[in-house]
Amino acid sequence: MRILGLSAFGRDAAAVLVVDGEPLAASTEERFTRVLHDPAFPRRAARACLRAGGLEARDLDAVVFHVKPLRQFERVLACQLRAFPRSAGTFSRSLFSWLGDRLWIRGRIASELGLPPEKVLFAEHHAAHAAAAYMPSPFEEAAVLVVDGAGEWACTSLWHGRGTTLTPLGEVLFPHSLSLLYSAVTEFLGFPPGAGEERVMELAALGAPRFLLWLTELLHWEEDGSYRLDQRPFRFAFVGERLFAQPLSDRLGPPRAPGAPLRLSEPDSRDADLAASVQRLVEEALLRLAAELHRRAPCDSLCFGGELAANPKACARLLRDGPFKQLWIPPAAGDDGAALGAALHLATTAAVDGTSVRRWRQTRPFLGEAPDASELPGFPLPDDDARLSALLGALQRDGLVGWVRGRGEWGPRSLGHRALLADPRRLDCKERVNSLVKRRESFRPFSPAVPAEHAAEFFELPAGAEWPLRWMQLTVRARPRTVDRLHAVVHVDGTSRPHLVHAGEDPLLHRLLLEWGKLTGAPILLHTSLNLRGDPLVRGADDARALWERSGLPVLVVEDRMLERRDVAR
Amino acid sequence: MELSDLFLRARSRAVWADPARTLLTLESFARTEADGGRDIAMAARRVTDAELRRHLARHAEDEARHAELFRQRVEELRSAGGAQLAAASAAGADVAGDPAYDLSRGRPAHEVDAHGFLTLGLLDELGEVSYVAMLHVAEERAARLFRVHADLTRGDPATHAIFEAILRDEQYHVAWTRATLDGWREQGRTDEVKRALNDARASRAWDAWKRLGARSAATFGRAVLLVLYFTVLLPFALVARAGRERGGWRAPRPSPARAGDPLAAARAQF
Repeated sequence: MRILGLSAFGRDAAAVLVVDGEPLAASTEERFTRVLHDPAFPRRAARACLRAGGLEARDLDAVVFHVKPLRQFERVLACQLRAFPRSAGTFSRSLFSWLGDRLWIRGRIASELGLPPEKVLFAEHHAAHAAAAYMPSPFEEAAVLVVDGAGEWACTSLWHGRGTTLTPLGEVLFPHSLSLLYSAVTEFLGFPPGAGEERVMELAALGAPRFLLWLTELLHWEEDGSYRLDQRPFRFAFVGERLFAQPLSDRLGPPRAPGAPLRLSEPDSRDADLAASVQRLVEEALLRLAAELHRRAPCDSLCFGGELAANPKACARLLRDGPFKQLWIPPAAGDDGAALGAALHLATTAAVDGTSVRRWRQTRPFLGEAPDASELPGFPLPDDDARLSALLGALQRDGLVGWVRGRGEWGPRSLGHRALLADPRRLDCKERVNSLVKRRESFRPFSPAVPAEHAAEFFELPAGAEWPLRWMQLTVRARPRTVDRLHAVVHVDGTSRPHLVHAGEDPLLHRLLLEWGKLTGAPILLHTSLNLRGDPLVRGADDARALWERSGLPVLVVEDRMLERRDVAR
Repeated sequence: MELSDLFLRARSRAVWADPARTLLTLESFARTEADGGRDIAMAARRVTDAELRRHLARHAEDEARHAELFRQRVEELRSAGGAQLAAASAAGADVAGDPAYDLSRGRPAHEVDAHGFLTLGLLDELGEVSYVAMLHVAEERAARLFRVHADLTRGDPATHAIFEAILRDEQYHVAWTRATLDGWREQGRTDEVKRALNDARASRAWDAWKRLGARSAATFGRAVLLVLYFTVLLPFALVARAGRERGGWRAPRPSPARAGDPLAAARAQF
């Protein structure tokens, strides 16, 4: 059974090809269009997936979209009507796009791919998220928590997974969305909602939660473990406009304009304190939801999906203080992951051709395209030894190096195949990475890559976090020697988000780290995504070369080629 | 001055008078230049003629540099203009960039990569002559647009300097594409070059007509919807307002999937 899963028009449009229950290829549209978080219909990603699978669109048994469009339209329409007459401005705008395009998604998918419309199917959005969170997990039984912006109506949902069955236990409906609450504060702080949430989480480490009490009053908890969100400070119903309302500004002062200086330290630490407050609020809310989920589905294991699952600090708190002993988070937890979930859900529950399939267990996150470096100029590196030698040389000489190899990462983070690596011992490490390539805000931390067997020497690793630590999905506390010697990969609050590298899964990166350890005494490298600010992760050799040309990166290794710049200050 | 330039000048004046629209416009310029640079760099790697390759490579570098100049200016303005931008943001201003520029460079947005320039790999699709002809027509238009923007930004010396610097590059782009086309004419490919230029110009005119149609339809459609909102939907809105938003846990809506027919559920859009 060959299924193409699609997500679009929300955040991170994506396509995934699933054959006999196993994903063969997956990509977000942004990797092709180079528009970060591109929500446009993923025609390029879909074509790339089909190409990777050696298929034509007509070979597909089904195409499944990540949401039920009519039910989502019902929600949009109902919310616009409830907001009458304040919604006059947004009504015509949102309805125009729905009536002109999104309501006819079945026909659009069919015509884009050249398929009969009967082959186009639809998954419920939270079922897709739940499937993305549970089906690829290593657990035979697990409780599943999905906390997302808004799909059709559900914003939060609880599930129980056993074998290939996912049973819904309950859901909280729009507009009571914890994820949109976080996005509203993100927008208030001058970061783009849907893209800047990670920055708010990082900013939280610099502040004190002095607005927590006020924010807590906005969230009313019921006896049954559910909640209601006071809507007065928010504008979730007004599609396409800002998410916060005047009462938020009345309480907190004017919103920060994008790019304006952040208010980080005393006497005016408003922005950092607000970030710390919303982070703490969401962590406490997730703990309450986890307690209720554990009561309904008493398991040891939790699978966590939806946009809030991409918050490593909240995930760490959930594992540390929550009732579950093990945690699994999909590498693509947002709407991109919903494309995979929709396809897996269909593959395991509907079985288009009448057969049942086994669950696919995800052990590696590399489902993207491999780069073709044949047209790149540069110095040839014929084998792994030559590549490692070149990388180590560049790290010792220049302090940082770009490395592109193999299939691309599925999900927003680099996990070694589209990586910028740097020497974290250098005092100017962060400044150098930022000035030459990343150009990120100075308060943002960088993460380390470390061989799994050495990780406990440098970080306090929690139990039950085997998988999240592989994919940089948890923050952990750094040990004092790490803080002292490798400050570039430790945040101001003493935490870090390590990427644990296993020899069996990524032998080349593992070897590089061990060799680096022999040279320096610490097998740790700063590891961040290979992209410029505002750009998505690089995809192929062309993107890598464009980045190299636009940045000051001294050395870039793409498969078996090395590009080297001679005019960089060492 | 052409009539279209007068329209452009009038609209652009409003853009540069509004800090939020200024930022969005500069961002859209940066995006478009970056997209163009990527495609031209790809074309430079594909062509076999060494001279054409050299021009395309330099052209691509120029576009990438322009993108960087625009990006840097956006950063500078953002850092400097916090309060003003906050006010614009707080007012929920419905701001937009300069779509005329995006669309001047190639094809309408729904047909292009990354909201701007050319479909990546357009050289393969068009062939060398049509590609250079299309570049020539696009660069002529871009030079005119940038001249207008340069004139209108004299009150902002830093932005004005960027446009002036880019204009010098644009003159080179127009010149090398013209010289290349002339070279092909001298080689006896006059008809092919003429056809390619005509096609490029006709394509632009047709695209402009389609854009006008789409925008008119959108405006009319929204107006109709607004009338419906205050008439037909009014009673429904009053009923909806009277109802309370539901909090608490809800049992998931029954569906055929849960009743044992998952395929029927997957076919349903509701």
